[in-house]
Amino acid sequence: MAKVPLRENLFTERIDGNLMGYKCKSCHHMLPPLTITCQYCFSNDLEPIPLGKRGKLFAFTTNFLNSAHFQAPFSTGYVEFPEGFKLFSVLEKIEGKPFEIGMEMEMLIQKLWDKGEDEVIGYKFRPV
Amino acid sequence: MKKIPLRRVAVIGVGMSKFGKQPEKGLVALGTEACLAAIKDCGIVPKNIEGVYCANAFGDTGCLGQQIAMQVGLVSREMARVENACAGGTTAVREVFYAIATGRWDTGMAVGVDSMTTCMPKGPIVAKDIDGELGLSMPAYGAMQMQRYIHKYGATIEQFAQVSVKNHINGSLNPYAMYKKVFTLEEVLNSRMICEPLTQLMVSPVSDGAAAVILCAEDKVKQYTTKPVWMVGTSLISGDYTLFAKDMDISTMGEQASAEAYEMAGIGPKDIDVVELHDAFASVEIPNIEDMGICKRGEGAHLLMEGHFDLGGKVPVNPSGGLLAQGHPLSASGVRQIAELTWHLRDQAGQRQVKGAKIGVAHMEGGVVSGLQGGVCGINIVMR
Repeated sequence: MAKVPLRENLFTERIDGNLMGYKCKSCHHMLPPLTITCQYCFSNDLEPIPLGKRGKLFAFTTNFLNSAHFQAPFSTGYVEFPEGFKLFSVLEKIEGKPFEIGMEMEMLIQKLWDKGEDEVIGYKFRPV
Repeated sequence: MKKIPLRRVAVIGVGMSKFGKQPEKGLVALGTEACLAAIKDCGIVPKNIEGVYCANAFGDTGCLGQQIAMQVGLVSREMARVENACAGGTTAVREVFYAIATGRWDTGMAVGVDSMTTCMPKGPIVAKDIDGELGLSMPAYGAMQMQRYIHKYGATIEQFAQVSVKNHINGSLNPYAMYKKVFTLEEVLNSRMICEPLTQLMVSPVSDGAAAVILCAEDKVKQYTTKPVWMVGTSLISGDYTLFAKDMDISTMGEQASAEAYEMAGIGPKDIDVVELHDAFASVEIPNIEDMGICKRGEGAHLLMEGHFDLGGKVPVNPSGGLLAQGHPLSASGVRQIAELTWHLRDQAGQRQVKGAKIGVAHMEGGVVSGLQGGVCGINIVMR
């Protein structure tokens, strides 16, 4: 089985390493993964920067409807990163640590689902 | 940008198909039903309708506007289909407004239609992008908006459930509503969980339906109606980057769209007599009321409990029953709202009539796009 990223250019060189954010070379703002144009000054001159893996839970829900890749019930939410933006993904439960707004979360980079013969590698979050 | 002078435009004819689960009909039959009703409403000879904009989100066919329009005798003229998530119908009405206001046509028709039972993929509406693949759905987003509001203002789930109670009461008075049944707060709270804390009765139902409106330039209005309703404001704003979001319960596109439409109409939020707004989820009605400046941030939940937004309240919101009770065939809703408001401004809304209503505002917002705060917000304002 080959490992394929959820999106091209989502990760630094190693597929199981870090997510890749960007710093605008023109206005120096940090930008989320997969950005092509700076959302502050609209420059296309962006420098890739590996992102950290810690953030805070901003909002969450438990879904009782199946999704394309996840069987209900499953939890999802937004995690706010110190770089100044939020990312959405699936949340992994940890016994004794119910989800709460503001709690410390860590990013896991791992297989999310299979696609044919391949493993799709993406990101999800769990309480620290 | 330089503003060009606009002609006054009136709503002269409105009509709806039945709303509900009716998979046997399909898009063309639904759209035709609504167009015929709007044509009958104003008695226009169809060939005098100079153009048609057709809104549709989940289509199984091309040139849908043409397929519908040909059924009522409209061919060989300007037609196009528009898609704009929940605001597709709002967009079609606005396009027809501008075609007339700027002098391209004297009369035109907007029709919105969706058949959610036959054209929508099974399951919740999801973004087709990265967040959608990671499990984001419209109800999940609605649930988190509610959670943020509760977190900030100490509001309760019961207050949001009351939105559904209120709108189902209104729907029970509306012969066009998909659900004409009243539910108690307990029934809303105890219905099946969809995305915590949103329950099934706090989520608009899968429905099929269409609505149509016919607009006309001021100098031709007298031919068709003695009760014109004037379309005096319109705006359409796409979502800003998520990076600049204030919070999930605050829609900056909703704030911007409201402000622009009010300015065009020469009114403020205090002048509004009746509102039809996007309540695809009970969680979004209160934040949307606040986006529209009808009350201050954090006040909406209390005012709702005090009956401020009920029929007979200070500013009735969703007298039709809203999307929760009326049903929400996506692209029909923004057109259907103009039909509803027109009935109120003509004193034709029966048991749900907002007495003496002079100014009505229609608000639709929708779409989830990874990296944006939302897809779109559209506002149309009508006045008698």
